[in-house]
Amino acid sequence: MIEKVWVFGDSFAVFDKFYVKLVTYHSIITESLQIPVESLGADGSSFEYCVHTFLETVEHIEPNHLLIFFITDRKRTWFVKDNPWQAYPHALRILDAKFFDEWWVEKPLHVEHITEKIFFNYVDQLTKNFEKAPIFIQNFLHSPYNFPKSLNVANGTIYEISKDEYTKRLDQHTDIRANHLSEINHKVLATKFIDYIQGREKTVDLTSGFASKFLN
Amino acid sequence: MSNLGRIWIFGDEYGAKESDLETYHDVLLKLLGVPIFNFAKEFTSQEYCFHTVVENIRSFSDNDLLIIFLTDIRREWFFSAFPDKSDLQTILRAFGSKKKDFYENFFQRYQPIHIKQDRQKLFINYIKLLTKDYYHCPLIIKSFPNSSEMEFLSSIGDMEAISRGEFKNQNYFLNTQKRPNNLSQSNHQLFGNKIVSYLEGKSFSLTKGFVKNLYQSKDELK
Repeated sequence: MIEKVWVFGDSFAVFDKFYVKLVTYHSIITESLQIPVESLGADGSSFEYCVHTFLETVEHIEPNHLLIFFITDRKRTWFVKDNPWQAYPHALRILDAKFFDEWWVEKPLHVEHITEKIFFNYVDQLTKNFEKAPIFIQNFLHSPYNFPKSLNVANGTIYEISKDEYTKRLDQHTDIRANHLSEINHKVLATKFIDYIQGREKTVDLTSGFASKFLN
Repeated sequence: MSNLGRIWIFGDEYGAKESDLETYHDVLLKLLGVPIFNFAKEFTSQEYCFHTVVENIRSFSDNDLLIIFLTDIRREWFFSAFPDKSDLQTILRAFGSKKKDFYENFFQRYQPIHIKQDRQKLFINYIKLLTKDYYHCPLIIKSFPNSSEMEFLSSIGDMEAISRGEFKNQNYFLNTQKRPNNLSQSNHQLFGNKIVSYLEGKSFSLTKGFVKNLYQSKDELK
């Protein structure tokens, strides 16, 4: 039986003090299954920060824990150690527009691919005998990752669900939804995670069952 | 060494086989008589080293020994086709000063070393997990003092200290054809012997047992 859920990643993963009174997939899982859901996500953070939080936590992870990874846009870079949320292009431009505009062009993506490859294979190897295989969720369509075939990768992307809630084009900067999702879709997402935990589904499908076109 | 299959070497100039002179690589060949695959390359970064390990991972067997030289953590693999252009001076020399400001800012101001430390930790965790049932624990060696801050490597020493120690004045530091891997012939022999002792179950340390003060000046190596 799964006794704990760990969530890693960016704003789709985060659960902090501002979220305590809200209904999110984290709180629904905790309430339904009576298990803790611990999030190490940080708003606006990068894949490198996700790796960092995993490395910081790995000693506390047990085979009856479920790991959920929200894998973010590869373009983000965790430059400022104390500010992991300052990893996306707009946030970094505030520091030094000239340098960071050039960085997005010069960023050695082959190095990113090596890190990804090591990380995915490490998690895969580490969780081989776990009760449930970790779930990897790709956040954005425009930043596809090369996941090993043996990993359990959700179908679809979380950003598509978030974006499709709107009838018009989504303005991310004024988005006040917890994890960029409305409560109704938090419930759908939580149900999908619970179905996976309880063995009714083999993976998490993000391409169906979510509410859309209800926000203006 | 009855249960030793092959030796795999990865890393930078301290591990590379890029000289016709006898090096620790040849000492190992002579003493152990097993195939040695050497993927180490001069002046490359840790990321290049990780890349070569990951590319070969499916070929490792549980009786193989992996020797991994961790280089200066500040080196960066910016240009996929030129892994040996990994520090500011070399990059500026090779590619001109067109992007001088960018590379200077990167190396001198913004380089996120914390990401590189995590990448190293991730890599080492992965290698340790992958080889946990191997007969021989991988030998992870710091090339430079700043190669790693990981606790388990702190007491082993580093290759650069042996290299510098060969000079009476340790500020002299020269990589010439007479000193492949920045080591003299006698220290190559001692280094090879240490690896063999490690395979025999003895502890591994670079902090003692090497020849010191071999050279009075740089001129002796010209």
